This record gives sequence, structure tokens and C-alpha cells, in this order.
Amino acid sequence: MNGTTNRVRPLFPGQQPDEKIYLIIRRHWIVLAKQILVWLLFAALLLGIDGYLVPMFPTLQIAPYSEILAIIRSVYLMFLIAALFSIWILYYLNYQIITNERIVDVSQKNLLNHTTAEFHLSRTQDVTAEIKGVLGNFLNFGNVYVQTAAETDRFEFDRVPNPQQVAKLILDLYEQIDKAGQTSGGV
Amino acid sequence: MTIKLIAQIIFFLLAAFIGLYSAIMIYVLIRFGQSRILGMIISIFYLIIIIGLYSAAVANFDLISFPNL
Repeated sequence: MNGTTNRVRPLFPGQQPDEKIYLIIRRHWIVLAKQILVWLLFAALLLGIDGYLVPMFPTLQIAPYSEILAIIRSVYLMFLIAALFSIWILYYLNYQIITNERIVDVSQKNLLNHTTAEFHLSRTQDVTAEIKGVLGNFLNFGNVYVQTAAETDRFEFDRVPNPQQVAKLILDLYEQIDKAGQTSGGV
Repeated sequence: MTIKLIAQIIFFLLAAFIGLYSAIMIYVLIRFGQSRILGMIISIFYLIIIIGLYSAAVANFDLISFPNL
């Protein structure tokens, strides 16, 4: 996984060639499923029109109303497909990378708002894993908060799978850096 | 004639909005996505669907007979 060849596109700006990527993590799939569920409600509206509205109003089956309904249906379907694509893109483009040196948060709040934040693991002060709610406990997902030394803001992993393992990984990597720092400092 | 013109303007403005929005989505996916190949495959798949729907919408639009005012 370490990007030693130049042909591999770096995952984030400033990625070092010898930097080892330990974890690339996205929100839990249930987050995407919830958004798709809302999308399905809008899609069901289309089925509702065909199933209930058209039989209720037989005039909608006669021209020109049938053509008008068909064009509304086509345009609505175009918006639905675009919305589904947009939901998936926003899920796919929000991720965090944990390397042996730092944590990188790549976030896409909307289509035109892309941010990449990073901090070095050596600045870690406190790591907290939080699992909330029935779904969180049942499906084992939650938030991981990383408190940094220099900044007042907490670094947050939002609704990620296995939050305790993620927190443990960050602490293990921090300890490795800490030990390496002490060894090199002592020589 | 006026009704047809208004309907055409609304229809093509909606189509242009979808087209622009789709172009931005594809650009963002290919530029910021981890895998360009995956981005391109999904984008092509999306484009096939959206172009098909647009063609269906245009065909439906042409079928509408507007009253002559």
C-alpha cells in the first residue's frame, strides 16, 4: 500500500513516497442506506402516481394529458437518477486516511466544497471512541474523536465502522511514533 | 405558439440544469475520487441512463400537441 512508484496517484496532497497507509475509512454503509431510503420515498412517489393517481383520474390516460404526464415522469426520473448519483458521490468522496505519520480527512460537504485536513499523529493527545444508539450498537459503528495538542477543535471520524478498533489503531501508531522519537532523541 | 414556447423554455432550462449538474458531478468524481477508472465507469453508466431518459423526455415533449393561440 505504500506509494513508492511515481505512477500511483497520491491519495492526498503531500503524501510521502515512504508513507504507509494503514486504513482508508468511510462512513458506515448504514449512513448511505438511510439516504437511499429517503431517495426511495421520492421514487415511490412515481409509482404512486402510476398506481393510484392515473386510475383515479381516467382523463390522465387521454391525450394530451397522458403525454404531459409522461414528460413530467421522464424529467422527474432524470432528477431522481441525478440525486442518487449525487448521494453516492458525496458518500464516496468523504473519507479519512490513517497513515503511519498522520491522519488525513478528505471531505466533500457538497459538490463544490472539497476540503483536505490533516494532522500529524505526534500531536495526538486523546482518542475517544463513541458508539451511540440501537443501530450503532447493533451494527458496531460510531464516532471517533481525536484531540490534538495544538488545536482546540477535535478531529472527528463521523459514524465509522468499528470505532474502537480505529481508536486503538491511532493510539498504537501514536505509541510507535512516540517510541521512535524517544529512541532518536536518546541517541 | 406562446404556450409551446414557454413549455420549451421550461423544459430545456430543466434539461440544461440537469446537464450542468451532471457535468459538475462527473468532474468532481473524476478529479477527487480515489480511482479514476471507477469514476469513469460509473460516470459512463450514469451518462447512458441520463441520456436515455433525456431522449425519452424529448420524444414525449414532441408528442404534445399545443393549442394554437
